[in-house]
This record gives sequence, structure tokens and C-alpha cells, in this order.
Amino acid sequence: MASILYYAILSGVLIGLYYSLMALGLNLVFGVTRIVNLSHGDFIMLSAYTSFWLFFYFHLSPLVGLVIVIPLFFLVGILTYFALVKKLLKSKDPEMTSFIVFFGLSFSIESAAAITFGNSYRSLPLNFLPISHINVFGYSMPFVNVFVAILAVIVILFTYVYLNRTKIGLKTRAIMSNKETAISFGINPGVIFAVSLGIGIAITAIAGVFSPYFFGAIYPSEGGIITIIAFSIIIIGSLGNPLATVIGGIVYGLIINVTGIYIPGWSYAITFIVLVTIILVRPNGILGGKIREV
Amino acid sequence: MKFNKYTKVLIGILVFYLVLYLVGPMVYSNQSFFETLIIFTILTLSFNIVYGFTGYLPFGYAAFFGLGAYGFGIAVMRGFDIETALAMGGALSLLFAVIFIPMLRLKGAYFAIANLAAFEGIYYIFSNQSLDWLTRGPYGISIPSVYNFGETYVASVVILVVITVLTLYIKTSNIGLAFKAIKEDQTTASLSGINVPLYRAMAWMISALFAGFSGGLFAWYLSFFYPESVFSINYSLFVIVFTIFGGAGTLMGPIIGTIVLYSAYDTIGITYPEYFTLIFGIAIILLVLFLPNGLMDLISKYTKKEMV
Amino acid sequence: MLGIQNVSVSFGKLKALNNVTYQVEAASLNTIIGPNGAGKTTLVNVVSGILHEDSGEIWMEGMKINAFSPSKRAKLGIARTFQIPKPFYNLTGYENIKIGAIFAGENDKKNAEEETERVIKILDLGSIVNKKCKELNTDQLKLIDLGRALVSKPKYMFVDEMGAGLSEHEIIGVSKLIRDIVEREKISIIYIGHVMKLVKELNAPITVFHEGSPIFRGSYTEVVQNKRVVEIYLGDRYAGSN
Repeated sequence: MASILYYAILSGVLIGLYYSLMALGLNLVFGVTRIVNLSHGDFIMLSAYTSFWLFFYFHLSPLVGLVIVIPLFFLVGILTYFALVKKLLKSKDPEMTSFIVFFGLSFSIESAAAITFGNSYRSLPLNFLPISHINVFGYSMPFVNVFVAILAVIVILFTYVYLNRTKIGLKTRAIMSNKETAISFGINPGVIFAVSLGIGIAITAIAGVFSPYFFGAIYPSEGGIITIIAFSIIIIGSLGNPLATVIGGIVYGLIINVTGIYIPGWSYAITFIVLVTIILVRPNGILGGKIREV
Repeated sequence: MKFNKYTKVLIGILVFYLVLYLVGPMVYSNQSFFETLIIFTILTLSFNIVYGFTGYLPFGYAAFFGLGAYGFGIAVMRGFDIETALAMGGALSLLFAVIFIPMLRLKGAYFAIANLAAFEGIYYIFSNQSLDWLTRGPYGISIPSVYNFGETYVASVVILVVITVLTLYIKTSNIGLAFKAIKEDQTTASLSGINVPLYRAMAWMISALFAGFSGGLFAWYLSFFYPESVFSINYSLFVIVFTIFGGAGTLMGPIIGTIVLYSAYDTIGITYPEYFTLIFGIAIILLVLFLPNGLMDLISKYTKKEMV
Repeated sequence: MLGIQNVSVSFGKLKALNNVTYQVEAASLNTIIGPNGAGKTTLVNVVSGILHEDSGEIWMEGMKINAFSPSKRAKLGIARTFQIPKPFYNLTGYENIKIGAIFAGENDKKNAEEETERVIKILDLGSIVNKKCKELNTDQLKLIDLGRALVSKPKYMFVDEMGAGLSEHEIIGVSKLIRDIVEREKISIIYIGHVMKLVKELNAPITVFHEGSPIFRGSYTEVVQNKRVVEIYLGDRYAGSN
């Protein structure tokens, strides 16, 4: 029994890193623009479908698909800024407006996907990877989990370097910290928002390419659950603090795996309960400070 | 009873209901259209009580609808009579509303997410195989013995009238004033002597209760449904679009919004549901960016009169 | 009497109120001054109930009110205005005040209207009350805010800075208004001020706050002659002035 538990923990950490990757883009976007992208999961879905069709029609392995998808979705992010975000930031209540806009966008993307791709479940094979399993600390892990975990770490490190060691990263952190002050220092918020949205969606797209291996299949309405999972992860970590997403992801991965052993079939319900409880008890996440409420 | 602007509007609406719902089916034979329209109007008016009046936007609102349906269905399966079953539909919805009252402490993003998560969680509970001894799990509820369109229709009209009158009552009373204050600024409302947690919980519970009734009526009308038919996030989208289009916080707004947009949906949409969700999705984006105050606001700007 | 005892409030590492004890008598006029960040507004937030203290007690008329919600405290008789007003923007000035009359003042419909009219008269707001607050300027909003506070029949009222941008003549007017309210309505006013001309005009006992603690109590003359106060806040211009 203990051996299964250790396996679950190890696997939980690996999978958790994927989930961190999955939620990272969302947290970055929120941290910078204070906008909650309720259609986050749908971008994962779109990226998954893109990778799928590249494989299906052009026989391109997901690794190649990855290279195409990153710049493509970076542009999608920039487009989203100019088409929607710019306008909604000018409304009377930008936060509330952003919920409704992205809620609507989610429906639009999902129905458009259902119309275009049909509702049947798709999946991707694993044969683009050299080996199927690899030995980690004495346990045989699916190589894809390890591969993606490593990829996630690379992306997270890239994000860290971007935010902390580049000039634009510095400007981004300034905006994240205090938008008005940053603007008075001459930082152009529009540019930062657009780039952050581009990077955020691109990171999301990376996670999207590998999503079939973690969610089982690709289908148009998978976005809803994915968005909620992503938010669970961010809130567990700390909303607005992109690097804290790692903690949230790993905790989430562990919960899913460990509850999977003892109460199979209820893993999802447990996540929702954890999420709702955390939001009620400590909304600023494990890393956030306490908040004062009326 | 004072014969003022509000009474006139109420009488107007009741007459309108009479014509539409009593005469209407004689003219246009698609009875299910009218029944579903009534149910959606009840749902939208209920939603309006929490969103239009207090400003809270519960994206997971569809959960109350599903809970009402399941409350009714489970009660019927256990042998309760129709009236009790309907009451239990409302009660189940109310029960979950009470459980989630603490959620109302949350601001903006947190409330929206917690709400959506709660919806998914509730849907999950009711569609879960392990609970099928109670809920029939993924197999759905089938209660053909209680099917009675006539009775359902009458009950629906009655509940519609009740929620309409209740909405107007709230709007013209001190309770409605408190709700308005909460929507504007909770801190100032608190300092003005309004017990904010109490009043917002009140709005939340009334809203959930009637949403539960609408779900119960729906279950009665269908007499057969799967979890995904009643726990569908689409219902959240619909009530949000109907309310914003018509004018949140007004009485006529949600009523007119539902009638106009649902009729459109029924005429065009049923054959191609995904096209319609696509159109509604785009519509809500455009609405909230370009017409956030809805039709009633547009009309009141044109006529220079405050719309009820 | 209204008072706080050993109250501390921290925001992360910043100690906004540091073990503060402060009290005021009924129907008295009091002033609090001090630099920004001294804890003045935090004090008001804690007493009015919208901010929770980390430790300490809040007492009113012999009753410990720590557990009371802001709305309950408003009904009991604690009112406050804001330095930057937060009205119900989409409602008229009249409605803003009337809501206070109905809920905090616990009046029925008819009395609420009478009370609202009365306060409008005291503050001379007749010309602006029927406009929506989003159409009013800051000075007008501050008066509406004061009206909302007054109409709740408070026993203790915190008034946060009314003197900004006023002329010499207007300052005398505001000062008279405030003193009138204390005498006629038997309300205890705690005026939080930056404009020293108005503070001088009010001629009330002053408490000076600095970095979360009260550091000096005295009359206007004593305050401007106190070396420490001059050093941390007033500057030489006021030193030795009368």
C-alpha cells in the first residue's frame, strides 16, 4: 500500500507541474491586467485542436505543433488585447465587465469549436516520444509526464527570468504592483498589457498541446472544467503572483492523485470542495496575506 | 393601495400576461413554447433579484435551476404529492443557497470563480454514479406519472405572477432601497445603518427559492431529464443575456428581455443549438460593451421617463 | 463617552495604530491632527467598524462594542465622514441622506423624510440635493456625506477634513457650523484636520498623532509651541504663532 502512495505522490508532483504550466498563463494575465479570463480553458482546447489537426492532416508530431502554436497563440493574445481588453478597460466597472465578456467569449469559442470540429472526442498518440516509460526514483513513470514536467519547469524558469531579469519584465512588474504609479513613470500600459496577454496565451497554448495526455481527450466543451481547475490552482497558490502557481499546481496534482487512491471517482468533487473552502477561509491563497473584510 | 405609476405598470404587466399566456396558446398552437417562456421568465426575474438589485453576478446560477428540478424529481420518486414536490424543489435550491451564503463575503473575481466551481461541484454530485440510489445519477429522472400539462401551465402562471408582484414590491419598499445601496457601495451602505450581510443573504435566498421553483416546474413539464439537461451552464448564459439585454434591476427589463430573446431562440435556434449559443455568446460581449444598461435604459433616455 | 483602549492595527509590517488609548466625552468638540500615515483615518475606520482591530477594546457608553457590525454601530450612534467621499453615485443627494435616515436613524417613512429635510436645512443643501451624486463636485459631496452622517442621529461623529480649499471667510463659517452642531444637537464631534486655520478656529482640545500613537494633547497654543509637534508636523511657520 505504501508503495502505491509513494508512486501517487511522485506522480502527483510531476502531474502537478503540468497543472502549474496550465494555470501559469492565466495568473500572469490576471496579475498584470487584473482581468479574469473565464475562457482560459477554451484557449487550451483550441491549442489542443490545433495540434491535433496539424497531426491529423500534416502528420506533424506535437513537438513540431508546439513550435507553430507558440507564435500563433502569442498573436492571438495580442489580438485579444486589441479586440476586447482595450475596450473593456474603459467601461464603468472593468472587473465585472471582463467577467461577462470572457464568459460570453467562452460560449462563443466553444460553440464555434463544436460547429467546426464536431463533438466527437479526439486524442493524440504518444509515439512521437522516443520511449514510453522512464525510471524515476525507482518507479516507472510515463515518459510524457516526465517530459512535460521538465518542459513546465523550463517555461516557469523562462517566466521568472522574463519578469525579473529583463527590462520589459521590470516594467511588467511595475504595472502589476501599481498601475497608476507605473504609468506616471512613463511606462506604456497598453504595450505591457498586449505583450503580457500574448505571452500568457502562448504559455497556455503550450499547455494546451499536451492537454490530451492529461485530460484524456480533446472535446469542445472541455474548457469549462479546465478553467475552474486552473483557477483552483491559482487561488491555492496566490492570485496575481505567477510564480506561486507552481505551489498551487503541485498541491492540486497531489490531491488528485492521493484521493484517487482512497476515494476514486471523487477527485474532481474534492478539488471543488478544496477550492471553495480555500476561497472562503483564505482567499489570498497559501502565499497571500490575510485580507480584511466588511 | 396607491394608484400610482407602479400600480399602473403592474396592472399593465398582468394584463399583458393574461393576453400572452391565456389567449396566446389559442392562437399559436405550440404550447411548449409558452410553458418554457414562462419558466425562463421566472428564472430571469429571480436572477434579477440578486444581480439586478444587489449587483452580485453568480455565474453558477444555473445550479439553482438544476437543484429545483432534482428536488422536485426526487420528491416525486419518493411518493410526495405535486405541491410538496414543487415546494421541495424550491427548498433544495434554498438549502444550497444557505450553505453558500458565506460566498457572498467574497469580492469580484473570487465570487465569480467560487460560484462556477460550486456549480460544477453540484452538477458533479447529482450526476455521480455513487449517489444513484438517491438521484438516479447519470441515468436521469423519469416521472411520467405526474405529467399533466394543464396543471403545470396553471402553476407556472401563478408562480410567474407571484415573482412579478414580489419584484415590484421589493423595488418599491425599503428592502429594495437597501439592495440598491448595497449594489452602489457596500461600505457606505453599512455605515448608513444597513445590515449588509443580512440584506444580501435575503436577496440571495429569495432569488434561489424562485429559481428552484422554475426548475421544479421544468422538471414537472418535462417529466424526464438527464443531469446535463437541467445542470447546464447555458442557463446561466441565457439569464445573464436576457437580463442585461432587457435592463438589469428593472421589472420590465427581464420580462421583455426573456420574451424577445427566447422567442428569437425558439424561432431560429432549436434546430441549431450551437449556432445560437455562439450568437448569444457574441451578443453578450457586444451588449456589455456597448449597451450595458439594456433596453429599458435606452427607452428611458428616449422618453425622458424612468422605466420601471 | 466613546473610547478605544490599547488598540493595535497592523498592515503587514506597518503598524498603523500602536497600542492606542483615546477617548472623547459626550457632546464635546475634539480635534485630531498629525501627518499622513499617523493613523488618524485608521482610528476612525476601527471605531466605525469597517476595519478590524488586531487587539484592544472599543467602548461606548459603558458598553464594549468590538463585536458590533458597522451598521449596528451606526444605529447606536457612531457616524463618520470620509476625506474622499464615497456616496451612492447613481442616487440623488436626497436619497443618499434619506437612506441614512431610514436605516441608521431608524425612522419610519414619514419621519425619515422629515429628518432628511431637517438636515438639508441645517447644511443648506437645498439647491443640490435633487441632483445625482455623480453630477456633484467634491465639496458638495462632502456636505452630502456630512448630511448622511448627521441624519443618523449620532452621539459621536468623526468629521474627516472639511477645510480643504476654503477661504478665510468660509473657514469661519464651517467652524461655526461644527460648533453649532455640537451645541444644538448635543453631538460629540471629533474633527480630523490638516488645515490649521480651521483647527485654530475650532478652539478645541487637540490630540496629535504620529506613527500610530497619540504623542501630545493640548490646546492650539500649546500644540504650536510644542517642539516635538513642530518638528514632526507643523514646521517653523507655526512655531510660536498664536
